[in-house]
Amino acid sequence: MTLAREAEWKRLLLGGLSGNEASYREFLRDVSSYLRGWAQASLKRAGRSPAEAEDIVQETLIAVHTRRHTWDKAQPVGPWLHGVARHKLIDSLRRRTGHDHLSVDEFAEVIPAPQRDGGLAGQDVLRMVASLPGRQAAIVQALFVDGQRTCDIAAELKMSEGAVRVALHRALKQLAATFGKDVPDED
Amino acid sequence: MKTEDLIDALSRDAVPALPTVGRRLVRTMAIAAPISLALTLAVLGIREDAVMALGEGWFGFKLVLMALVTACGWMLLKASSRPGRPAPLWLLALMAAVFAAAALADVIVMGAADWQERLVGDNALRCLVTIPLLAAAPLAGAIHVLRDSAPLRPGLAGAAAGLFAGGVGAVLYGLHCTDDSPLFVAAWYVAGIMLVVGAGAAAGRRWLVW
Repeated sequence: MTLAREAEWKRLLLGGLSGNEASYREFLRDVSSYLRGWAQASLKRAGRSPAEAEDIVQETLIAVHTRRHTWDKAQPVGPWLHGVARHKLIDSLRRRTGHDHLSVDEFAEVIPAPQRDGGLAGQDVLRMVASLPGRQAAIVQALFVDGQRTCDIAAELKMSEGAVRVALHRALKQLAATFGKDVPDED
Repeated sequence: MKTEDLIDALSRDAVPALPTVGRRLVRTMAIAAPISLALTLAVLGIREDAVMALGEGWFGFKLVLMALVTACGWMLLKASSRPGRPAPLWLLALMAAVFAAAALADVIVMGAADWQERLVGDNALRCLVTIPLLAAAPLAGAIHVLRDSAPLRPGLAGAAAGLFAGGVGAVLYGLHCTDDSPLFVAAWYVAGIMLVVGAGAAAGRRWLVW
């Protein structure tokens, strides 16, 4: 990870923290391609299939989002992000295999991997979404899986757009909390 | 599910984030510390010779030691609440050295003759019970704030919260307790604080996993 990228991430994340959607979206997009390359390399090293990388990218993005206030503005973004990602990777491997010993790449050595197929995977996240209470599941399903816009969802569920955003916010928090717990695999 | 859609949904949730961990800790302590202080004043009472004793003997020294524990706990708590920088664990070695030096100073200054008497003091058991009680509110507050943070080592973060809360409890109990000998403080105050550290570590492993 270069200094220029660090400066760029800092600028974008600062924008996101103050509520700028476009800046935040760009941050998450750029970060996700780094996370993907990093997760693929780390999984390969641990003897796992790189196909699991997308799950880890998604879990990390949700954790980054719900805990973004824990980034200290006086500190660089990279090490903080690496800490969150590493935590999620180890957690995910522990859930799947029961082991949590692995060597993890530093971001500096990572070649970013832009997504090719829109990053379709996320079996874990789908399972979590199904466990959300009532409307939250419907909203997250509509947003994430069907790619609908908030105003359309609001009309469909006869809610205000603000209420949809609040429900989304709660759902994301709930998702992040669920990832912290052991979730039995269905297969 | 597509990552692209997830990113889209997350960025739509870009409402201003929560305040920083440090800021929320300060706010929570503004509630928790007065609870402990009120308990101290209402149930225990400040020792009668407090003002006079502050200028002489070991009373002031004891309070400074406990304030040091609180400060170290605060720094460890903040550092272990999020990724990015390793927690300054050398602070623990520093504290151990300070307490060892204080106990040694006690023996040198006051003589080795009746050291056992000073070690046992008057209120050893009460010290062990009261410090955790006075630390309960700050510990609960700190764990509550940490639940929305990102500790990479939940047990360590909980223990740091316990060290901080134990320090607060010890400062307050120190205002009441008439045992000032550094030997006593290094044994019983530290033991009381360690109970809170243990409770914090257990709470951390239970509630701070994410």
